[in-house]
Formats: sequence, C-alpha cells, structure tokens
Amino acid sequence: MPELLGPFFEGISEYWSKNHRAIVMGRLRPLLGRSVRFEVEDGESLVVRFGERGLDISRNGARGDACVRMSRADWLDVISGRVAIMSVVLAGRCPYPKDQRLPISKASVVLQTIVTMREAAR
Amino acid sequence: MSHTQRIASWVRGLRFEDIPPECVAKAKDQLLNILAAIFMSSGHPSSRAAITGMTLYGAGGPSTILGTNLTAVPDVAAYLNSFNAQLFEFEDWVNASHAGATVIPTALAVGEAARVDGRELLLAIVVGNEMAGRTGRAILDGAYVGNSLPNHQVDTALTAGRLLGLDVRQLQSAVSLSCFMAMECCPPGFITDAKALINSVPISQGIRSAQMALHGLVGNVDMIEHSAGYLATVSEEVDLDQLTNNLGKDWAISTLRSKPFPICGYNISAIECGLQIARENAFGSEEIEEVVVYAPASTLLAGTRYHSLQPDMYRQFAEGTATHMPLLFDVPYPLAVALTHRALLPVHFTREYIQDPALAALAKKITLKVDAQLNYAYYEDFRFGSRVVVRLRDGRRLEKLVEDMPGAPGNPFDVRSKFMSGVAPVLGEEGAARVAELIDDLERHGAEELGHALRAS
Repeated sequence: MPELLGPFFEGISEYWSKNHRAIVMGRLRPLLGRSVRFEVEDGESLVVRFGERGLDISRNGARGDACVRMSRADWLDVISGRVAIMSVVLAGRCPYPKDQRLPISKASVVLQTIVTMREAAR
Repeated sequence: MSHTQRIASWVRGLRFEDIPPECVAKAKDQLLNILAAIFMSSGHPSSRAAITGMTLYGAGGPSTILGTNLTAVPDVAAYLNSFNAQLFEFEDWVNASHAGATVIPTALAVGEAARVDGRELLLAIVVGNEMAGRTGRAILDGAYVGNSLPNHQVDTALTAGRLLGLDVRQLQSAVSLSCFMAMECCPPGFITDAKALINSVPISQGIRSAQMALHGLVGNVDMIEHSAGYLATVSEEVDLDQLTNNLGKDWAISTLRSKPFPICGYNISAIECGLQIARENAFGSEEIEEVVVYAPASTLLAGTRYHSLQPDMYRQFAEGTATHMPLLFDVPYPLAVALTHRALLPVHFTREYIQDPALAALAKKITLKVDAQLNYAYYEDFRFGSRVVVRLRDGRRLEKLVEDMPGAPGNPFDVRSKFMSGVAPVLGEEGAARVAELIDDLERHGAEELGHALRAS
C-alpha cells in the first residue's frame, strides 16, 4: 500500500510556510506550537508540529499532544478536502478523547482549509 | 474583587436608564425574533412530544408554554420554550454565543411569574445577553464552537436572579450553584432532537438555582472564574479578562445577529447567495451542472460535518436514527432547497422535502472550498461571508458574493415579518399584531400581560 500521510504532509508543508498566517487566525491560533500524531489504522504514522515557521514532520514515534487515528478510506476523504477530520469523529470512526479535543478540532479546520484553499487558488 | 462578585454587583446595580436606547431596541428585536422561532416550532411533532412529556403528570403554574394554552412553573415553561427556539436552529447569537434561545425563554418565564414590569424584563434580557456574550468570548479559543459553547449556566442564573430581586451575595450563590455541575454537550447529539435541548438543560439549572438562592441556599462566591471552576472545566482555554473588561460600556447585545433562515449561522450567507442567484435568474434546478461554495473554514466545518456518516443523513432520517437536525448544519441540502424552491423555511426540513430525490441529487453537485479573503474576514473581523458560483448546462455561470450575512449589525432583515409569519398562524393576525404592539411599547406594559397575550386560545 503506498504511503498516504507522508506525501500529503510533505506536499502541504511549503504551502503552510508561505500561507499559515492566512490559515491559522483568531480562535485557531492555539494550534500553533502543538503537535499531533496522525495514524492510518494498520498503517503508517507520523507526528506533525504546527509551527509558525513551518510544519515539523517526524517519524520518530513521538506521541504528540493528540492522536488522530482512522482508516485509509477516511484519510483519503479528508485529504481530498471533501470532509474534515471532525466529520469522521462525528461519524464515530476516529477517537476524540477529552484531553485531546483542542488540537484535534483545530487541526481538523486547518487541514481542510489548506486542502480546499490551495485547490481554489489553482 | 472577584469576577463573579463584580458581575453580580453589576447585575444587581444596573438601572434601565443605564442601558443605551439602541440596546433596548435590540432587546425588542430579539424578543420578536425568538418568539417567531418558538411559535414556528410549536406544532412540530417533536415539540408536541416534549410538551406532552414534560407535562405528563400535570401542567399549571404562572408561566406560559408558548404556542399553547398551557402554563407551567418557570423552569419547565422556559425549558420547553427554549427547546422550540432551537428545534429549527432559527434563533440568534451575540459575540459568539447563541444567547436568544436561553435569555428570552428565561426572562419571559421568570418575568411572567415574578410579574415584573416591561422595563425590568427588557433589562433582564440585556443582562442575559451581556453574560452570554462575555462568557462565550472567554472560552472562544477552546474546542467548542457556535451553538455548542457551554456557557449558559451563567447567563440563565443571572437573568433569573435579577428578575427575582436577588442581592449581590445571592446572585453569586445563584450563578455558582447553577455552574456546579458543569454541562457540556456530546457532539453526536446534533443529529437528533437531542440538540434542541442544548439551552433547555442549562436553563432549568439556572432558574432553579436562582429560586433556591433567593430562599437562602448558599453557593460559592467565585465559581465562574475559579481555577478549578466552571469555565476552566468546560474549556481548555479561558480568557477571564473578557468577563468584565468595559462592563457597562461595551454592550454584547449590540452585536446581535438574528437568523433570517432556519440554518446554522455559519451557512446563512451561502444560502443568501443561492437565493439571490435563484431569484435573479431564470433556470430550473435540473439545469444545474455544478455549484461551488467559497466560504470561511467555519462554513466548511459546519457544512460538511455530517458527510462521513454511515449510513448517510438521508438514510438515517428514513430509518429514524436521525431527525432533520443534521441538515440544519449542512450546506448542500439547504442550498439545493434554496436554488430549487427560492426559499428556505422550516417546512423544507420535513419528510416531504428531505426525501425528495431531486433535492438529494442536486445536493451531490455542491462542493465547498475555503476562500482566503472570506476566511480572513471571519477569523479576524467576525464577518460571515460566502460566494456561490452556479454553472448551468447551457454554459451560463451565475455568481453571487455576500460579504456579511443578512441579520448582522448594519445589515438587518425584516424581523417583524418573520415574527408575523411565525406567530400569526397560532395567535391569529390580530393576536400577533397585539403582541408586536405590546413589545414595541413594552416599557409601559408588564411581563404578565405579555405572557397572557402570548397564550393560544
């Protein structure tokens, strides 16, 4: 199975560096400086730190401030921009632990923004 | 002085003369708008189920269950009236907090029971909005957004407390008792009638706490801001400065946004774009090839949030595991209705429309994308804009931009017309007009008189 998350986050990394001020504003700012572990069920995982200077992507097995874990099919839907991570959470297919809700909810908005805004700009 | 004490002192000491006339006018607008929302819901089967269930062992009391000829004790009447205000998501918000569906039911039910005059009723409405707006701002950076902000145990207790004449210490007790069991909603409840209880539950706690504080029940003095208190319990991020900065100078009710359509507030401008396109151009919905909605991220957050459900919303509606509720947060379905029927009303969230295959087919042609400028305008300036592009089979490209929603400050819609269309079917044209006149001149009337005028015969 080809890698999904690595190419996706590496692909948006440059866009993030150039545009994060237009993406992470107002109530989304608490995401800055936090890291989220993204996992495909029975597949790859990586940790992304949402920094002001860029996305810090690592595969070193760190836990992150939160974990988003869902199926490959749901990830494909999220990566397309059709839905956000929170859509999968509300469908009951992605855990949403109480102590991780802030980074998960903000990352959900930010990733759908990046994907669809980048597409709209093309 | 603690935040809770400062707030309680302000609530106790506020005089009608201290409130700017434009804020009093906003309170009257809010009253008209929320009454419309309540009356529009009052014949719905879910409303009837709630009222029958809550009065199973008897009705009766000093407060009106709106849209009926029944009365109840204040917390029950307010609970049911709030349920109806929320059933079609047809209410309002100040700052970021959905205030009208808590403040108006609380003020009407307690005000009617306490037989306060119209000035005191209007003052209590302004107080409730101030507290909802400020606590909403205080937790705005946390995980909750919009209608799910868990802050109403503060505003309901203080609105009721003011109307019952509580002193400063009693007000502190009332709000602290109300906030003791801090309530948060479970997000999956937004696909059923459960969501309509979102303000009812804190209302009953707020009113009961104020009544008990009046008779000597003692609560803490600082539950709102305590480091292990209410706001710290319901939110990861808390900005306490929002609670009292410029209290009595900046008025939350001046930010009132009333909804012209039964829909989540994030989606109003997208619907307005669709309605303008449909009303200004001649085309049939079957001619539509593609629709793209450009909007702030918040519109995508709401408008696609139920697109991963399995089975999907329509199937769950048919099977009875969901109600119309998730469609009130959707963009594709209500936009399809707007483009097809050139209107969006509560009736469009009934079975006849939800199960119309043509609407479902058109909804599938609608996609959403974040627009950088509209996104900035929302997250930095609280402007709720959208742009919609419709492509037709004959090659026509129809586009409309709405920079801020109708119902925003400076961009009003006809609230009185909404009021008449909601209330007249229940009270009759004459009865509805009489209520509107009472509200226009509420300074010279009383809450009990208003409550009686609102009773169905």
